[in-house]
Amino acid sequence: MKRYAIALASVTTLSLALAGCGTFSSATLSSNSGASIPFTTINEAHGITVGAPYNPFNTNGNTWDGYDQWQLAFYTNSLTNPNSFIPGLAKSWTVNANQTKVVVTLQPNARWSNGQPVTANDVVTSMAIAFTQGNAQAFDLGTVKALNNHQVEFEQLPGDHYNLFLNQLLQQTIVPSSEFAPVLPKNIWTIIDTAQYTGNNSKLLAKAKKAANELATIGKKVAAYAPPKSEDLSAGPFVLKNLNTGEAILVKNPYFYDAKNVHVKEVVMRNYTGNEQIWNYLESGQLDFAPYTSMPTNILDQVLRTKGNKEVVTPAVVAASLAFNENIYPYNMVKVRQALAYVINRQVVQKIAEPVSGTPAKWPDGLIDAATKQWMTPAQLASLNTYSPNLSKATKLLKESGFKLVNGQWMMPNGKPWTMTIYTVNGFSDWIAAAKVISSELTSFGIPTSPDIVSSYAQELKEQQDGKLPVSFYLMGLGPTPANAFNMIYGVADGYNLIGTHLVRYPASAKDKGNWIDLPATIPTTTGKMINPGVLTNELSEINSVAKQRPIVQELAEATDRNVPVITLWDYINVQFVNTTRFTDFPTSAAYLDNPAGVWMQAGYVRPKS
Amino acid sequence: MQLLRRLISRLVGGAIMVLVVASFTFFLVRLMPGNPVAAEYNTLIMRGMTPTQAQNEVRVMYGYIPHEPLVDQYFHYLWQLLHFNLGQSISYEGVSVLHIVLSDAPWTIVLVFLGLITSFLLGVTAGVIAAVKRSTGLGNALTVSGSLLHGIPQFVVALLLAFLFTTLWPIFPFGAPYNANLTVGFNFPFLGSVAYHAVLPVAAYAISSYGGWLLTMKSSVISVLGDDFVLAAEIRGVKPRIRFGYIARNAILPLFTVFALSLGFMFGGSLFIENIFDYNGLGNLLVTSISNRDYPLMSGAFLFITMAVILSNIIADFLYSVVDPRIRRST
Amino acid sequence: MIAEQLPQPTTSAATLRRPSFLSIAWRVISARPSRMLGLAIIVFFALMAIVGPFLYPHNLPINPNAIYAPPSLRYPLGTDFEGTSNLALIVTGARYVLFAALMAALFTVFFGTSIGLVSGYFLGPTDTILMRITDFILTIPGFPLLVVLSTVWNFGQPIAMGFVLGITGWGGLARAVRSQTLSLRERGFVEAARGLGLPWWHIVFQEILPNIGPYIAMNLLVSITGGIYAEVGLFYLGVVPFHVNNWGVMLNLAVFTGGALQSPQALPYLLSPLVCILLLTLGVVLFLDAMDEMFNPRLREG
Repeated sequence: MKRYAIALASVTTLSLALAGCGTFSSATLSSNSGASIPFTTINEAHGITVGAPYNPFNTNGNTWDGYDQWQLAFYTNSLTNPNSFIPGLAKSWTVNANQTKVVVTLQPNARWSNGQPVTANDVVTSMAIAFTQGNAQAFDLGTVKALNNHQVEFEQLPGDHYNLFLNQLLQQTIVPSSEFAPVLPKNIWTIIDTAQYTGNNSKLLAKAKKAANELATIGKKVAAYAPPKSEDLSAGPFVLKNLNTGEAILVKNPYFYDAKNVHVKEVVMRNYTGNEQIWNYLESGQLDFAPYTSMPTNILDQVLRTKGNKEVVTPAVVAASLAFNENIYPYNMVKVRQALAYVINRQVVQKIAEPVSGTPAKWPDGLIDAATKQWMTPAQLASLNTYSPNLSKATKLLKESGFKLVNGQWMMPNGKPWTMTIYTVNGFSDWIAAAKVISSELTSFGIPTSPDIVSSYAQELKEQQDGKLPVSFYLMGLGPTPANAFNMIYGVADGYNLIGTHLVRYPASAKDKGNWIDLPATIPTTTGKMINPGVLTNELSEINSVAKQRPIVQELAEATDRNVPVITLWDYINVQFVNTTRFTDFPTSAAYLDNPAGVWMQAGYVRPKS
Repeated sequence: MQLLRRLISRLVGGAIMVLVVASFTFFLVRLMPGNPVAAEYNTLIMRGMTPTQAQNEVRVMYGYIPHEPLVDQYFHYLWQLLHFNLGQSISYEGVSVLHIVLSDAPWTIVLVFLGLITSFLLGVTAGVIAAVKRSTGLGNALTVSGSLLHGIPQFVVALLLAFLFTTLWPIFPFGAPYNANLTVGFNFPFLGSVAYHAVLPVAAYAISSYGGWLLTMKSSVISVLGDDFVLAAEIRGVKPRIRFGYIARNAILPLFTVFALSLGFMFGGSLFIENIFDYNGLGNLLVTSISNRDYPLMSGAFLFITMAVILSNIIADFLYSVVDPRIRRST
Repeated sequence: MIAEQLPQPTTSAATLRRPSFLSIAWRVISARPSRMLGLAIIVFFALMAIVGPFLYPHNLPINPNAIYAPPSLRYPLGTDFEGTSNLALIVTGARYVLFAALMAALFTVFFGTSIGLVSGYFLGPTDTILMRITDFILTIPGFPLLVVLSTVWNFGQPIAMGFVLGITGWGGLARAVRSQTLSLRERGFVEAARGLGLPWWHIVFQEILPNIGPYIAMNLLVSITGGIYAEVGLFYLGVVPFHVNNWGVMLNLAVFTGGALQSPQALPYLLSPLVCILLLTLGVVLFLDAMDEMFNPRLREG
């Protein structure tokens, strides 16, 4: 599912160069100055953009998270404990009982790659930047205070109880104040404080709105800002040495606080333009680590045939789904959505579209199946509808809703023939294949359907928000907790927004407010009980106790399963690859494997084979 | 003097052409359904920006203000263009289009130029042989090879080369223009790396345009062979080597006329060849900018591709007039 | 900027042409087996485009148990990523590709011929202006222009595709037609027609056009192949969203989602359309040889 990234791809491996042309061996070795073999990998978030700034807040910035871009800590992707972390710049942290106040203690030896110490002030500046990017608002950050040179205190907005506060806070990127403070106005914290106001005083509210706009403008400036140093300033284990359109070369940062743990002297970050290029690298055994890449079975076989390539499988918390805009006829009808769930054969779709790194979703309940099993009792599981392919049930449901089958084609109750376009995203090969399969399934059922391709994922999200796409592909899950998962349906996409501490619901007609799923305000669960999914989802994000969360999760899952606002097609599996020819001592736990290889290395993993 | 005047008139013609192309992309983007400029402006307003702020933002992005009258916008845009301001890229946040285009242009130009030279040398040589030996098996074989290769689309050639030499027999590297470990500059390892990486793309360019040169050269040589001066030279007993010189020199002149067509074709091929061999040139930039709906970047890339073609044409025309005495004297 | 193209005006065609064109054509074509082969290939693909879509159901069946199946009796060219027969895809995909290419060729010939004729016959300012435009069209790299146009133009209908291909591709033909017109307008029969006071359109279309007809016919064929490459290329790059199955879409999916360059299993999916394009090219090249001789009597004698 890697997008077409921007620039281009890469180069000879050392072995290729050696085999192909004698002149390279000496040059390559000498430039490594005895550094042995580089560790070659790709970055899943972005490729290499020559000319883009060394700025982690730029979409194409030439910094690499987990290598030369460093966070307070790295999340282990635990499905059960959102507060399980591998320490980064934060050596340790303490949290108060209701998780609203966090004190972070920095690594005492933390230094930037120019030798200057990483201080609490850097963290404060980074948080100010997080506000300009909208990141800090996302976890309800209220105040940030440097207690001393090594300790920073964070507090949630008064009255808030967001249960992923610590989780998201620790994942913030820390940048050097010396480089980034100049782009921020002197009164940045005044602006932030003004923007935080959510009371009832209309004058202050107007000021807050103005301040929020100001923050957004500063945010754009920050994103476009090119820090004046010619090379990036890293607090991580590596620092950028050189880059061209094909690869970026990062070398070990001698000032890294745990430099003694790092046995890899050089990391080569390959560029790519599409999946097929990553497949190429993998097949030729060039990548020592390849993060998740979608691929068909024939490629997997080929990749595994290459010497040293090893498949590493960890659970993923993401699912692919088909989402309906219930503002568009006839998808406002529950029975229509249920009927479609019966027509679409998810086994076949997954087998064709995501054969290697997916499993067909069993329950369209808004959660990935692993989470469903964890949160629901066996009795509840049995009560969920799995929507196994059943054309006669689909026919019955449609007829009940007033649809008629005329000459093998379904006519809608309003008398018009029912045709469908399924929107997917250019470059998402799995989605495109799935859209084609679903189209042919629906067409043979009597709903002439064709796939259509939107230019980019961002564009698709925008068109969804603008209410233009009746049926479109959508990512589900996207986070460790059920609150994350349900938030994808019953959050902003359904009009629910948290303004300060108040939950507000915008109607679909409100322009640019993002309500495009547009469910009714209350929906029935399996038992017929009417619930308000937006309110419950918000509640879910504010409770810390699993026992208290469980009944809410169960109700939401049941309601989702019954109302089918989205049809979950498949759950992703995180299939990654390591190559054991050049390096050994790879980590085995998902906690590390789900993070960039730089995070493994700072913990002492990965040694060159002698 | 004559030459200079000709050159100046060509340059003026070229500048007019650039102007037309720039205007074309301007109106194309401006009149696009769901005008992206206005859309961007509206989104910014909806996000709570004041009209002035939004205008400034959009002006930075596109180089002109959407709510001015069209004519004002147009001149505003041209004025910026005169100052080499092509606006800012949308997908490469905050990077100026000129910067991206300038960093990508050399790769396209180098590859196209190398491909052109290679195909020209091969095609012309083969064309002469095919003409002189046109009644033998070799001549026929060359002609057929030319016709076939002339007919095969560039992306087919490139795909086949990529499949054969990077997958089936991984002899050549795939990807970036050079090994990033090497210091960029005028040193042997770096240039060697560039050359090594360029083999396949250059071969793709060369193979796909070799046929055109061959066929044109062949027919040109055949027609020159029938000319009186060649017969006269033969009768006068001029040595074959020198006679060959006469023929080649006169036969090669018409090739300049194919040049223009060929250049457009080569630069057009860059869209495929750079895509298949993962070069970050203008062709690939154009394709990615379109899939990202990055219109400022798209306009910039297209303008530069066109400018490269126009400039090369002017140079070719200038060389032509230097080589051909008829033009040097009259016209 | 661009000097004249090289076609030889078909001087003596006027006298040889009409009485037994078909028989001459047949004699020329059957003179060499290669030409027969070329004709056969062209007819084969033309038939495929005409009747192909009727041979298969509107929605080709998928088969999740035969993904990237190797060629077999059931799937003579193997299958694609969803187990659909590549042969079926090729056959049903031919219509859009060939029809759009034919449209492209017709538009090219229409624009190229009319502009060339008018320019060459009238000369003077008309000629200057038209040739400036032609120079411009010739200089602008055609394929990048198409790619840029793809952002505003809907290529869903073959005729729409053909129109754009035609309007960007007539430059070379216009130049060639002009130079032939130039030489023809000084000939006796044209002078005579002018002397008789016949209207210009009569002279241009009744006297001059028939004489360059053969050359245009050859160009039509060349333009068809050019059209195929351009449209398949557009689909291959993925800049044109695909709503219909065709060869370019197959290439795109084979390379970008099937990994045909990385794994032999998906190779039939890539090679099927690729070989079709190569075959068609071969057919046209072989047949052009016959046309060359048919319309260029000098060659026929020699």
